[in-house]
Amino acid sequence: MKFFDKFRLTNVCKKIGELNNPVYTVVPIAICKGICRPIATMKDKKQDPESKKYAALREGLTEFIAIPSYIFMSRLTGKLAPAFSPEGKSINKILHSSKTTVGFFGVCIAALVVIPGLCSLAMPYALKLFGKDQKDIKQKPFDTETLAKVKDLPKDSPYNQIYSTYPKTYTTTSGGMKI
Amino acid sequence: MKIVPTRVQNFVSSPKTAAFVENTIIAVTTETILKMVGRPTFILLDKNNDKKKKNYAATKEFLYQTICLGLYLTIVGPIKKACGNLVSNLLHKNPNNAKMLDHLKNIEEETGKANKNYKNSGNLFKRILSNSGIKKDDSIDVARKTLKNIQKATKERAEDEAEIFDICKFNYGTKVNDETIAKAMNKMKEHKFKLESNGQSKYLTERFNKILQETPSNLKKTFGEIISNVNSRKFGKGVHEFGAIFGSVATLAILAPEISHYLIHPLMKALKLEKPEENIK
Repeated sequence: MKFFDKFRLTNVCKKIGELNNPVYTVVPIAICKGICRPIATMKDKKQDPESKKYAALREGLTEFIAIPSYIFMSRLTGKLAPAFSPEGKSINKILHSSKTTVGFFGVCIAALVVIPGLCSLAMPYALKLFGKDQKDIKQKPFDTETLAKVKDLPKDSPYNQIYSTYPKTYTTTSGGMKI
Repeated sequence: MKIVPTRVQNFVSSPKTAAFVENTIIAVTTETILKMVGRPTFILLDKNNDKKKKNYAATKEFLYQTICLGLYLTIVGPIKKACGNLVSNLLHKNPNNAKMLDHLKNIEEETGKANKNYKNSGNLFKRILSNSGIKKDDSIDVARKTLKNIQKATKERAEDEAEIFDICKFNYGTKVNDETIAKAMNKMKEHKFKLESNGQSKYLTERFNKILQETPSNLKKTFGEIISNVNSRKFGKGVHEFGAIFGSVATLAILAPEISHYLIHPLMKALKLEKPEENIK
């Protein structure tokens, strides 16, 4: 119990009981996802190492961007609460309710638009920062047997068009936003 | 100048909407659904990659979020209950917390009883009438109406007490003494005057008016009751929502990534978006 007294569990429960802001839920989820999802991705044996690193980087960056986005959008939309509060029997309570609801809408806008948008913008720079560009992802050399098979196929075949330039790593180095 | 229409204002500022939105499960479910829509959309709009890669990534992301949502809605109920019980058992060791939690249990039992009595009354009266052969008359309707009023009153009492608490702005652990009672009464009188002068006297409840007419000797007991009821409800709500937050984090951040890897690869193969290793060789 001393551990939880130090942790101030009582005060945390009282604070949440007074006002359970949606930010109190989504931010801890984003923090834990930012740690656990890249770890789970790196443990996946069915993907090759380079694409795993790319996916893990992408996931970590998404959750890293998510944390300040949720807080910022919730506070920004909370400032619009007076516009949504008619004068009524209990103006403080109405303003409190408006702030909560409008803050939730801010979290929704962050999840739908802000976070994926910022992540798409930031990903190329993050890749450059970590010294990995999509063009730099090493492609494993062909076996001579595979090369012979490719050469035997007609030039128009889709295999020749795609796999001649992107061999084994084609299906595993997938771009765009990763989970 | 009004920018927001009145209907929208009333919906957004309603305490019921706020209570709905403060529910952890609803907030996380809504957020996951929006991620399910938003993230694949932005992947497909990405101009830096070719179509096949984008389709693969977008489908994978959509499937991952769907699995998260399904897993969350299946598991979170029992986890929330288990975490809530664990936290309340831990907090029960502190005597102040134990007092609030036991008091909340009594209030919830009272509310539950009122709801149960009203719900079961219809069938009960039907059975009594059919067994006894007595014809139905107005007294049955009156009895049902009384039970409904009791159910309504226990519900409204919570809202009423919360409003009085907010008007008087009692802090946690504030002692109910002559000074605080005098301040609380002044605030209540100010609030009554404000509503009456704005033509909004219909919002003044019977309980509110009764308190203003009470003798000073009873006020200590009344305000003490209001404070302990409101504090207990808020604390209990906090405990349950803390359990829900913990359950949400455990499900979405720890369980979902591990489980999704076993489900996503077969699904992607079934959708022919992931070529098996044999074909690549």
